[in-house]
Amino acid sequence: MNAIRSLFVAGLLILSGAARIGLNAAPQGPPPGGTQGAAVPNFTPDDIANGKQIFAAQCAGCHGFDGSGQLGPNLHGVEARRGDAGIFSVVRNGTGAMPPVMALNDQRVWQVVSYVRTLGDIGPVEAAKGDPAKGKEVYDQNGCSVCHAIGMTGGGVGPQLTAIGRTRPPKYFYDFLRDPGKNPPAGYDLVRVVTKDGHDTTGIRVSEDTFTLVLRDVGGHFYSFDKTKLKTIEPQPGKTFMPTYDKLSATDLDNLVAYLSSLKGAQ
Amino acid sequence: MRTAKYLVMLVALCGALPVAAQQVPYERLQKSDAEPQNWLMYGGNYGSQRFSGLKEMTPQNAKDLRVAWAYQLRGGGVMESTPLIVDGIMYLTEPPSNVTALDARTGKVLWRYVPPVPRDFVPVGLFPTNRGVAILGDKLYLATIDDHLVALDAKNGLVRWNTVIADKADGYAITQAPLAINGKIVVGVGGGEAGAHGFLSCYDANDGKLLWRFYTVPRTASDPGADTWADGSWSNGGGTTWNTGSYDPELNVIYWGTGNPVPDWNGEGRMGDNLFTCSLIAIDADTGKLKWYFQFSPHETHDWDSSEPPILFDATLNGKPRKLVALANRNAFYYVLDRASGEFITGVPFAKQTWAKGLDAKGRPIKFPAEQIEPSAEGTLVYPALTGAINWTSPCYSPITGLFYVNARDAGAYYVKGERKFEKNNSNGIVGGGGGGSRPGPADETTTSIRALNATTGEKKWEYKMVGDSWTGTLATAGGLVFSADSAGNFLALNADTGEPLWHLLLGAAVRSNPVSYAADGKQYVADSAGNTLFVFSLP
Repeated sequence: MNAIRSLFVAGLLILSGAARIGLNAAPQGPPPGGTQGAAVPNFTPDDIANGKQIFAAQCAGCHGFDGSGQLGPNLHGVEARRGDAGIFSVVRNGTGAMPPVMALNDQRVWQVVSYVRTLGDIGPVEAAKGDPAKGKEVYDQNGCSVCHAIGMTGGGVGPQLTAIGRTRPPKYFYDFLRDPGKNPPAGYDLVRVVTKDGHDTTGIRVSEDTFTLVLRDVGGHFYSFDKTKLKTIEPQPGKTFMPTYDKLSATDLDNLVAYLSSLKGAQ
Repeated sequence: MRTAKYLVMLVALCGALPVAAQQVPYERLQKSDAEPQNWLMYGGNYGSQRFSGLKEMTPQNAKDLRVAWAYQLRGGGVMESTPLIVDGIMYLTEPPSNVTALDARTGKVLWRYVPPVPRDFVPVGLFPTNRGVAILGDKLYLATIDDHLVALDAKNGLVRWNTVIADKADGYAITQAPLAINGKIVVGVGGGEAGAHGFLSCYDANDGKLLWRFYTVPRTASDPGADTWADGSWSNGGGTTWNTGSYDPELNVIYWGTGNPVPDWNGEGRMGDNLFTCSLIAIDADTGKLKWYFQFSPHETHDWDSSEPPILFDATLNGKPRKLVALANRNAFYYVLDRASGEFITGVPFAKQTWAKGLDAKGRPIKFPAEQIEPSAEGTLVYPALTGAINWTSPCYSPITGLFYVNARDAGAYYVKGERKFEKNNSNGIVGGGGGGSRPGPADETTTSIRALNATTGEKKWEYKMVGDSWTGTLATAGGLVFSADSAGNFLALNADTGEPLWHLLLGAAVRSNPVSYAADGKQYVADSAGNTLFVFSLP
């Protein structure tokens, strides 16, 4: 453990803990039936259509017309991450660089939510051919939950899979499990840095600005680097922390894909 | 009375008489460079140079800069305001259209004005924010998001008059700071994506009476420019005037950029050059008549408005003194024109662009073939991105270095062509649109850089490359510094001569406004906002 790491791991693990508390406390999506308390209304097709218009007028400038992100982040699958009430809260109150949308009344904000929750949905796709229940066994046996969370269970190094079946078709899972480095999800690219005093670290790029680069290793530890003290910064295309599962039997692979495809979040 | 107590205190600090402290006659605005302790208008001076004559902060001591005070928005939203600083008082605007007067030395609030903006008003294509006020005499002038022009008493924020510029039901919305000239207030409008018909208006500063209005897009088939819109498509509107312009007091000419035609990304229904969209217009300040125009992007189809602030400066070209206007355009070209005649002098790319081979002798773009650059059903990758090589934020110009400092974005986007049909905004405020859109280009290719250009030639002298997609203007100072910020919110100082980074501080949120500098009680300050907080910096 180098000096930079030891200094920051102590501090950043506190942040990490805080982030984890935040994740658990954040709305995970409304309970079945589409309501969370009395606040979340039932959405109608007209709500979604109106929400789409408002989105085009108010949101697309930053999030792109298809919600895939531009100045603001990609919103595909955001409902699984934040829940309807969470999206409502962000629109109403703002977050980070995003301003609160003060000009919309609550009904219109909910209409935006009704549209945003559909972004990235792949719609009906051909059903995966395996057995989801057996696929869960494959998932557990291979320790996937060490890195991935489903609902409130699992680790946070890899992407949350709670509703992954809504945004990814079976073919994606087959391709990704066989060769995860080929097309890693956005935000999980690996970077290798070497400090001027020779310390070598590879991790997921958590954030980078003009002066600072923060990486996270496979154990979830954070490393903060002053870029003026780095000798090299090398992106690692084709590499990922995600292991390759090309040795799974065809049956296990089918079952695992069926399980992942069945994860549709709380709808 | 609390307000009165502060005024007494501030007057004491400034060593000025109460009346003098609150009076900003036109002559002071004309000679604003003579009082660098103040920031008297949106662009710093009538040339929109955003240059501060203050010298306390230098490349040698910039490392000692620190936060002197901070002010947090009382409401929500992102602050994009350029505050005015007048004799020790700062006038800041907050989203959506509020005005707050602060003690410029300490940040203490003196008074507030909150206009009655309807909460259910949805402006199309823009954030409900405000970028600043104008001052003239004893009044401040505010343009509200719901299209009112309001004159406030600068001493206490009381409304002295209030007039309606446009009907918000027609898609109009205003975020800009008005421009105060001799007895007049000039203000434009936004809302092009909703089909708002662009115009520039001039009001009597005393009573709010409309003096003239210039429409940037024809309203009848016999209006100038109507023949540049096929099939009467001028009726769609567009060409809005949503960012503050500049003024030459000697020529008595106002310079203002205009926005895109609509629908943005599908130009099939509006063939022709679409005058006077994506242009710089030069308007006689007394009559409102067009003196000349220069169209940067004829028949524009990528939402590259030409609303960027025009910067006025004088230089000697080929042995002759020239009055010039420079504009770093969203389309990625830097232009220099003669501001008396509109003659094109030079134009060169200042950021990555893939849409034009170059400019011809008159400055008209020589576009690459349509299949290479026009929006398409599947998306056409073109540089710059929809957000442009620059957007609403302001570059600056230093008369000391002769350099034009611009925060330039190098990014591309896939431009998608949608339906040709265009429906104007209606009263529920959520219709309008662009006939397509864009999705991001390769993310890892998006960077922003502070570039120092030779102002007369556009030649790059230096650049400071930053990570990410910064939305901050620049400020140059006589002390030899340039201030700006990166996308993460690192507010930074560079050496104005070399671009060497001298100091930075992470402010914890994106900086989405233009920095300013002023002095209070003899001390230099630099101010900029990040997220929902205004930060003010000084030396110890």
